[in-house]
Amino acid sequence: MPELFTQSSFFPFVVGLFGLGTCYFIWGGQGLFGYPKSDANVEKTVGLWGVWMGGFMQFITGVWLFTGLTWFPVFTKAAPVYMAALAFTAYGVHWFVMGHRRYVHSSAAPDAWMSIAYAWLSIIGVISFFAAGDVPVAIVFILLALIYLSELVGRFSNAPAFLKLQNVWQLLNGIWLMYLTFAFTLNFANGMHFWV
Amino acid sequence: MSLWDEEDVTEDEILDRWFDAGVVVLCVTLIIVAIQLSGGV
Repeated sequence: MPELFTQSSFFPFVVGLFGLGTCYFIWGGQGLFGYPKSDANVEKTVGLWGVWMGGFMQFITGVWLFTGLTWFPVFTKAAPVYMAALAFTAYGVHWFVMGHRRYVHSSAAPDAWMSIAYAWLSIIGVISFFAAGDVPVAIVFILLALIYLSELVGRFSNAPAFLKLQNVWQLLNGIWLMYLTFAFTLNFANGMHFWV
Repeated sequence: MSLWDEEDVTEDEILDRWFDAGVVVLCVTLIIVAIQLSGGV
């Protein structure tokens, strides 16, 4: 009996990767370089980019991938897709919270506890993608782990230097995510063979 | 209030911003070139 759903290799990873990358440029760039200077209006705009680029773009990708693994199983032949779906969904929702938190100028202190869970999820991602031999995406998760471990120390110790370090990792991950967006898009759209 | 409500910005600060943004864009470009040159394509 032929399969009802044919497999697709057009994974929508780039939607989430570009969303997170843009978000990291804005959050990391503003935090690291101090431009624009933080005030109530700037905080609101930065929060909005967090909700929509970091949040919605990743959340929709995660839901889309899980749908392609379950109801309409078109992505089931690639092992790490389950990990990617979990990561996009979980990080997406956490950006809804962080963006909204910044928009309404709410306290970031409870994020100390959040950073334990997300450092853990990042480490799971490192293991999963290295085990699958996918080094370029494993690099994203290494940088994610560094982001949340820096935040963990920064928030629990009330150490601004570690939060600045977190901005450095965010900006570096933004740069790497822009490469991955470039590589995945040209590979899928034009049949090129960039390292992904 | 103007859309661009920065009245006390100096030429040096603007140059610094362009430098920071330029470094970020340069990094993305260098990664692509480096991967291509190392046979990653």
